[in-house]
Amino acid sequence: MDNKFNLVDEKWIPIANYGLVSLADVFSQSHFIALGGNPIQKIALTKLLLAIAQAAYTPEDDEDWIHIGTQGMAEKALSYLKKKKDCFWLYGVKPFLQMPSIVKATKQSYGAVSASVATGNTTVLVQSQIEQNLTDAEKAILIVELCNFALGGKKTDNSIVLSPGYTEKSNEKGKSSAGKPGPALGFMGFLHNFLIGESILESLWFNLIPKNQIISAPHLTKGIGIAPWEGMPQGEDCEKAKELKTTYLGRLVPLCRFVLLANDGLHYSEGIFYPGYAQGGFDLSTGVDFSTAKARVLWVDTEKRPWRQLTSLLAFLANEKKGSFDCYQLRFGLSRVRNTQCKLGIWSGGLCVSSNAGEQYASGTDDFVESEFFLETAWLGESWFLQLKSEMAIIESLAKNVYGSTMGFYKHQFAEGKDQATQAANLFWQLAEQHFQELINACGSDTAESLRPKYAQIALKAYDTYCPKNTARQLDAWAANRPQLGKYFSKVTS
Amino acid sequence: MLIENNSNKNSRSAAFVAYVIKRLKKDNAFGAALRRADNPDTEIQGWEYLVSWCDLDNTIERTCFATVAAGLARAKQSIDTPSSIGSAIARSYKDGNQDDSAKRKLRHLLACNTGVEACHWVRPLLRLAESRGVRINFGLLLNDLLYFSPKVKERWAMDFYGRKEDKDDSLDA
Repeated sequence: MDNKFNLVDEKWIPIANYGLVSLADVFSQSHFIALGGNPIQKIALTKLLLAIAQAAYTPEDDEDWIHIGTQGMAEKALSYLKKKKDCFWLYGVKPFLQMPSIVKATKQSYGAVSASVATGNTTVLVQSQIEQNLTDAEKAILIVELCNFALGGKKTDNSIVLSPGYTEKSNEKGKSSAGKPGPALGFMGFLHNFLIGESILESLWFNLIPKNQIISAPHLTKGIGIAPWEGMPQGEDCEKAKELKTTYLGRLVPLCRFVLLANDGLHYSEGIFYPGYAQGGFDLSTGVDFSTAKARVLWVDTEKRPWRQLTSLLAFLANEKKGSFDCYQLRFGLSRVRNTQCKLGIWSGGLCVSSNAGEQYASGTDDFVESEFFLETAWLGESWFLQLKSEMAIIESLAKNVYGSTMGFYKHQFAEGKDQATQAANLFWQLAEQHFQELINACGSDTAESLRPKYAQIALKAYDTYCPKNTARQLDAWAANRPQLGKYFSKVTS
Repeated sequence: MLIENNSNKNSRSAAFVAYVIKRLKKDNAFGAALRRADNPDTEIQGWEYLVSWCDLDNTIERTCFATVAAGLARAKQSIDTPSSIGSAIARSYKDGNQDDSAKRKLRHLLACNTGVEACHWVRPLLRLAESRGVRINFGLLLNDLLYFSPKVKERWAMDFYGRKEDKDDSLDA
């Protein structure tokens, strides 16, 4: 097959408020602010771009990282792309992140492997869920997305095994088993976190991890490693595959699916099995907690928006080790960036999925989530964090108050009110989210208490919205259960 | 402007209550006439005292002023207290706001749609409060009856449960 559609020159990466650009464009133009697409595409593309930058040049330590800078990183990545251009053909003898030898695996349609497309007997709710023909650019994104966020289930043709004697793709009875979830997705969908700067290049530079920090991650025993596109593995359990499991580049661009693009679909089989968080394997961008007997990880929760997890993720700022999550990407990044920059952001996001008997799908309340907020590096310290934590605890108690009061309102009338109480608390969190950036800023300038009346008002609004007072009985119940938040209003004036 | 109007409303009610309290101390005929002002058959006897304070042709004003004046005349309060009608209902019962009769009375009041309708329920409540020795803020009550609104009902209900009103009127969020 002829080499076709080179990812270095062809336009395929979505940029917010701009359109599609090529890999070369990303590293040569500094005015692109953020990646486009849905959150999992953003994560997958960020990891790919980061892998290219890391493969091009991994700084030795923090000093080297500062020395290289955004521009230096971009230049090195560009020259790397120029040198390795042959590795980036979407079609050809060595197609990008694909396995020509998997051609015998059953073909799946593009929609069948995509979380946001409704296939089979799934109900189509919105136009975007209808399966469509993909352009080459979209196919390229799908390949990168599948590396990280492949849904577990029977879609993979696991009867094809490339490594002789490899048993991970079959069950105890010897029959081909269901495909395991992608390493960046996990059982319910991991929450990923990255530092963001004022441009894509700056964001990549912030997230670039020096060699000395990579080796401090317990599961990356073989260090930075070699990018998978430079030498694809032969099978699921070959030497290269084993190496990819324990290297940083292998984890940035995991080959959890062996795929090969065809005219009307893609040959699809399970690829390398990456150890999960319970076995000590995790993406640096996820929040993990190994301090307890059973390892824990931060999942995407559509009810609990990512900003609410911030205090968990930044617990290292107050040296809180026990019972809190640790996100290596943020910890490594913040320790470096705080000495250099004055403003940086934190992006969190992911996809929430349901699992049933090994089959994964996005249904019901499952959805993409993402949030971002900015802070000054000068604030980053224990006092800022503790203030944020105490204010977050107050917001949490307000949410509980709204829930309890709404429940009380319905109980007062001998009615079932659990759903309304949940919705009232959700409304509170949604309205509160709009002021989160303000809260972060206020914690930085020691005026965090001034926002309490605002959050108290939001709590009352959430309660009033779900507790009508049209009849005498409702008015009675409303007054009897209304949250009493006078202390949040008086705090500021006293 | 709104604040000014509100203060005018308040001052009119407060001035009327202060006038009635003051005159009750020295004018027995005045008290006797006002005590009959909330009875449709005898209300005419109090009109000569109410005419300088309200428009007698206006049923709403006349009923509200007459109800409050009669209540004041019976209560024999020397000063106007801060306690509103909502909290007065609760305090008239031993179990306070947990008493079923108290709750029923509050609901009757909350089910009213106009000030005049509320006056019919307020009248026995004033007698109840008087018999239990519970004092009421008549100035506030007159104001609430004159400018009866859902907001007033909300306040009565909150007072009944002893809940303070927070600054929740304007939310820009």
